[in-house]
Amino acid sequence: MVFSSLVFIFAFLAVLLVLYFVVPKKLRMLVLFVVSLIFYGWGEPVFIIVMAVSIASAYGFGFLIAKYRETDTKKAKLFLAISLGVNLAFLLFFKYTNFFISNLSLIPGLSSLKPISWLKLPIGISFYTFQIMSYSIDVYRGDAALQRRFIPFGTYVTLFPQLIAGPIVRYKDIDEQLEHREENVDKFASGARRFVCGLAKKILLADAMAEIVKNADVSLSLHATTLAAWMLVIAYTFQIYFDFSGYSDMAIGLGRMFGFEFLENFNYPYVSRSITEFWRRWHISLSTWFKEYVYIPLGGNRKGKLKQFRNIAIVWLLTGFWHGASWNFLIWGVYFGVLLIIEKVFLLKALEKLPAAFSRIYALFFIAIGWLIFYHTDLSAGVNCLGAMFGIGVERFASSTDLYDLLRYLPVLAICGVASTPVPKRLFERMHEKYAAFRWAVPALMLAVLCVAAAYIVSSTFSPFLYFIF
Amino acid sequence: MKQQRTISIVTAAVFVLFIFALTAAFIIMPDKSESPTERRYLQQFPELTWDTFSSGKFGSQINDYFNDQFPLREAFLELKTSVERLLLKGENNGVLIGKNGQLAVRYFEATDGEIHVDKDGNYAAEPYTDSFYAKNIEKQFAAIKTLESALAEKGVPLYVLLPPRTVDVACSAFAYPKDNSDALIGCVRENAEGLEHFIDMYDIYRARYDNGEYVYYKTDHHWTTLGAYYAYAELCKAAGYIPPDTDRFVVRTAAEDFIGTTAAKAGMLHNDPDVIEYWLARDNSNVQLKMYVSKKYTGEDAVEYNSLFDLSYLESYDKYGMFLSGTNVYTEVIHEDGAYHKKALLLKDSFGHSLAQFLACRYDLTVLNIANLSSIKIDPREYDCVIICFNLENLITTNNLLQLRSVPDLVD
Repeated sequence: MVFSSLVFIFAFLAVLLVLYFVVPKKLRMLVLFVVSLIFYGWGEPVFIIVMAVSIASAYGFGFLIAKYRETDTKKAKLFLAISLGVNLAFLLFFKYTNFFISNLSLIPGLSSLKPISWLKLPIGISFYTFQIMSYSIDVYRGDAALQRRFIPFGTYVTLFPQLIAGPIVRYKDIDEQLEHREENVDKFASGARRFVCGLAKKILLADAMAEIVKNADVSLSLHATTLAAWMLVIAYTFQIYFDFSGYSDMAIGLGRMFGFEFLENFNYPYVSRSITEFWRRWHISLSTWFKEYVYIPLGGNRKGKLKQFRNIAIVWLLTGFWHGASWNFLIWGVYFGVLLIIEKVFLLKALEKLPAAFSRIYALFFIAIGWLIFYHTDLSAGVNCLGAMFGIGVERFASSTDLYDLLRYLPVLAICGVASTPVPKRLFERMHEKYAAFRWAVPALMLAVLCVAAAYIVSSTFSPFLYFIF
Repeated sequence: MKQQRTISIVTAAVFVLFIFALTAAFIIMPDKSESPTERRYLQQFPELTWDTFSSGKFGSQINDYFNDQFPLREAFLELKTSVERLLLKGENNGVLIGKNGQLAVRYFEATDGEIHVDKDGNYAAEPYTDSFYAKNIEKQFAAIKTLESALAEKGVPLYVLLPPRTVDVACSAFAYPKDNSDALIGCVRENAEGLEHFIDMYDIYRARYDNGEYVYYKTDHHWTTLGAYYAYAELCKAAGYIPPDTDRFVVRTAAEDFIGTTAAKAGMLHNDPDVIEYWLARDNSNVQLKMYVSKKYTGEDAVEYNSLFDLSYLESYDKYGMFLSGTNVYTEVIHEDGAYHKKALLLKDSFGHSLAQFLACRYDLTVLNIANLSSIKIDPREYDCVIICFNLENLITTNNLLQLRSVPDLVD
């Protein structure tokens, strides 16, 4: 189920709100666990089994890890390895098997290998696998206590706000909240506002950008122009940010309604002045996870420059591959790994001396090229698009239709541009502080946005069967 | 602090009430079985069985059920359209929104005439584009030319009429540039070279539209009856007749509240409606006739009408269906005035439906769909003339003209 659907808001959430706040406090965790499973199983109920096995194994091995972690580190380490192995095995099997098969089949003599046709990716597996792993590691390290009760642990993994697309919550960050958290009306109101804000980002901005991307993509394949290539890349840069950060906002908002505080996942990544800074602001929960559970254990930056570069390379190869079983994601990871190493070597210092405008343009340009790689699972289409941006292989710079589209999307593009910066939030906070009237207007504003978002969702389902001309 | 608390309570209440109010309305309001504006049946509450549940079918049908039965659907639709206007997008759902309530579809699923299969073996959908594939047009013209030369052997003339789309006619109503239309028209003209009777009306329609004439509907993708009249006038000239003046017809208004397919696609059900007219010849030449409408080529089970117009369609949303009683496989129009009439074979898409009222002034007609010609049992060489009426939209989104090859003994 997705948050931006009618069935989520008007059935799932409506029922949950009643159920959660009506049952005795003791049962609230159970309610969350059960509804989260329903939420997850909505589209593909079979995959609940896969997730349940992962959860059960980490839960069980948690006891063994905790038992031996002080007395017998070797055994503890072994159980940790098994626990992580089981989880990773699922992820590898479901996500990467067909990728390996289809690449191996390119080798002469192995061409009879055929991808497994029934193999589908269980939704959210990349996210929940990482959450489960963080539990095992945190317990092993003593950063978190053993969770003896199954329901709270199951809820930690399946908690519907973050289940499908993050943020990836580390166990030690939420450990406490599973047992003790407070739901109150201030939190609920703030959660509701945050949810509506995320919904608006997704429905009003990301989806509008998706239109541009789709049209530019088709027009590039028929009559390539430079402007269409730039439109695609710029619109996709906005689309992925508003889509993903909108989703995180909705997750954080929903969590807050039920008393949870998740860490922020985005911090205005497009105002960054370097790629290094970008990755501190983009999908923070993922970079933190890799930093904490891969980069630092590998030695981080404490063992000399060469080892550090090796560690960066490993982390970024994995980060790329985590995003999808396709070559372009690997290239995308390597691309950022290389940029980060270059920045570490000398560029970062140079960038600091440049005026902010220059370093921002530098960062944005390389971020956008990154999204170009990310977007094109078809590598040759990606190369063509990159070429078209610089006038290679195009029919002309811009067609009249490109200009027309640019003009009509200018207002939305401008809104996206402004909304990518902290300016609106600052403005909102200042007004909120200064004017009582504004504070009272906020609920009305939220209602208005909610209505508009609902209107967009409803109308996206309006599909006239057009009596056609046969 | 206290004030902030109150605002929080209000915020929470607004959020919860909004959800509960609509949920309650959803539960209370009876389910609808169909949506006339969308011309389709709506999803009912799905059956819950172990199979439907475990396959995920139940989940996806519940999604559809919510989407289809949601309260205030049309009000939300209007709200979205207004917001899109506020954002100055100038389009909604791929439909251009122009001056004086003029709408036109911009994107079409243009095909290159080949079937594309993705890596999982599924048929890939054609991309929506405002461009077209020249190759597909070329091939279909080749099929027209094959038919033309086969007919020429028997001295039967072939008149080819490819009506433009609204977006090719109403250019002046939109900020959208007409380059793509010009490119398409250019490609069509190039391919039409060598055809004996290609009726080129593209400039005529644009000029008449710019002149304020009502040649194409604002909310529907068809030409108006006036638009069809101009096509007939050109056809007459091509055939060597003097076209009848407009004052030789009595103009009847069938509907003044016609909201067509384009408005439905745009989600603009409250756009200025269109007017549908039908024209009756003062000499009764398109009145004294019988129309036989059948679902089969053989004419079996034909339904008999005393006119070319099936006014029962005016009760529905598909008001354009009043012409020739909508789309049928086989239609025969035979005069009952005792006079001799030449026989014409009309190979058409739905643009041909409103053209038929004018063709009937001169010919007895056999009307066939180009889309289902593949099982044709009729030899066009037995007619006095053959007329192709096929809209540019169908020319670029299908390769149906290739079916002209399935005419008996016409193997290329």
